[in-house]
Amino acid sequence: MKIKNLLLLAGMSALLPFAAVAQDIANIDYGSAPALGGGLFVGTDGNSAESITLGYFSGSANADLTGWTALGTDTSFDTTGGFNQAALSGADVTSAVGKEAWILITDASLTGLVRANDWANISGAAAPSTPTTLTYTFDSGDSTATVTTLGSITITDNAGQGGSSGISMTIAVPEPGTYALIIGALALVWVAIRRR
Amino acid sequence: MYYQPHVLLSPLALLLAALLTANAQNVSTTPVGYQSITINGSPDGSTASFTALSVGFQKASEYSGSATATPSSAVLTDSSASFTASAYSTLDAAGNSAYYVEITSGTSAGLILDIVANTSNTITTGSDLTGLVTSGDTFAIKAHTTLADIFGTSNATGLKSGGNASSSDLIYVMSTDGNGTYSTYYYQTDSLGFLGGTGWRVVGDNSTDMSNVVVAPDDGLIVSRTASGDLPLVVSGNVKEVKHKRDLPAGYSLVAYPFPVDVTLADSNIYTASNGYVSGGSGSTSDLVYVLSSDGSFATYYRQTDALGFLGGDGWRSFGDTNTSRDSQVIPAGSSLIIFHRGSGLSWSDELPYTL
Repeated sequence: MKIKNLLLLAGMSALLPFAAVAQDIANIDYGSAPALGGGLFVGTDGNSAESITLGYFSGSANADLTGWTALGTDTSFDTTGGFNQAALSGADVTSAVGKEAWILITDASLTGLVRANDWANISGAAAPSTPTTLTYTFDSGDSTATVTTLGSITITDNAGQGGSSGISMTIAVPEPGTYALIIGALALVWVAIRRR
Repeated sequence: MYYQPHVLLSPLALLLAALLTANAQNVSTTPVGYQSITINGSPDGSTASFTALSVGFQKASEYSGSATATPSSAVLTDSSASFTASAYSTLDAAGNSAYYVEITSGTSAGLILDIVANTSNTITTGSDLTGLVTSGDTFAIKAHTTLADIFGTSNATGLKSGGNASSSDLIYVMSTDGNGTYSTYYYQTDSLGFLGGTGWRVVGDNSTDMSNVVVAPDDGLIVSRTASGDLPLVVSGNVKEVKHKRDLPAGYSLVAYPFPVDVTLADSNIYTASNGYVSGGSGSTSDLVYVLSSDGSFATYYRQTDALGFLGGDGWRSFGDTNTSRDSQVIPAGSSLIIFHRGSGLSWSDELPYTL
């Protein structure tokens, strides 16, 4: 019995070095794609929104929209028209792996969520593998048909950077039903921005 | 800063290198040197610390000559040579060529090509030489540096060694095909006598001696150390005498700046307007340069091209910061980095950063 326990202990100890480094890390570009047609995030006044936040819902398959967790927020708009090339370097995405990424647009106390339907789910990697590079941007190929929204966001086609392709996403006062939905989802859990 | 380069191209270095490397004893005209590198120790005796290192030196030439015909295949002919047949076709335990040809003049000066076969006056390389070499170009034949050369046949460096990989420090060698996969080596101590023997091993095979596994002069290594205490590592050899030239595939490459000096991103020539480097408006549309920290995190850099005029300007940038120039970011001598290439080929070349 003693020998068996010792062997078990030795086996568990041998696994420790690998267990010690298990954080999933990613470099993430989000917001506007850095090219003509890059998506624009517009506020109620027609100028740039106040911020965009990359995050995810931890709820099962996003069905219940619970557990909103922000990975990063950016308030630096390159143009007054809502162009924002945001990025996160070395983001710890361990708890986000496998989830869908969303961008939360905030302006004048109003919020709305949007994602492109072709975005890959969140993933990461631990050293010595390099961080996963993730791209959650809206580009010239996006249109009303390729994105999903929550809350009152108006999508305008062919209105991205340059005005001939891509989309603009304009935050607006939501109708009562959708307003309750989005507030309810976001009120459940707001986890502070997690960056390495 | 994890590296403490002390490159010395002087009579003192000559003496030290002569003592440290038997090969250097036969060469009197090639500058030699040594460099001290620190392998980072674990902060708590269990959490892995990482060190990305390289050996910025080469072994002495086995032969120097010139092509006497312009190749139209992978065969390089030197009619004045008198090699022993198959003398340079040796493979290491992982199946890599143990010898290489370094082109030392002509349009491909600096290019390193593994040798797969040889006759008395021909060398067959692993790549087609058509268009790369012309008659009259000079070349040298050299043996690759091995794991045993770097860390000692019996682990003189003192890496943590146990009965398996899980209880040992690990050395990662990345594949050169762009896939980014690693072969993982460790020094095994077989205290029980039935674990597969003592010596250098690869994860997945605990009994084959891997001490002769090669590390090309422009390849990097990553050491993962789970034991406490930094380890000093001294590497030495001949200083590279010709420019650097290496073609990188799409995907990941763990590479070294092959000269034993610090270099900045801007001076490294990883990016030029015409070498195939993909430079876009963000990190996700550009080739990336990863620099590993001891805690396993990566600093990620890319060369930005600001086509719209308001994206933060042209130049080297850090992922997540499009505005601050990283042109002066230093790649320390003795370190290595990972390049992720999104295009169809990146031809990285750089002139000698010193005068011989």
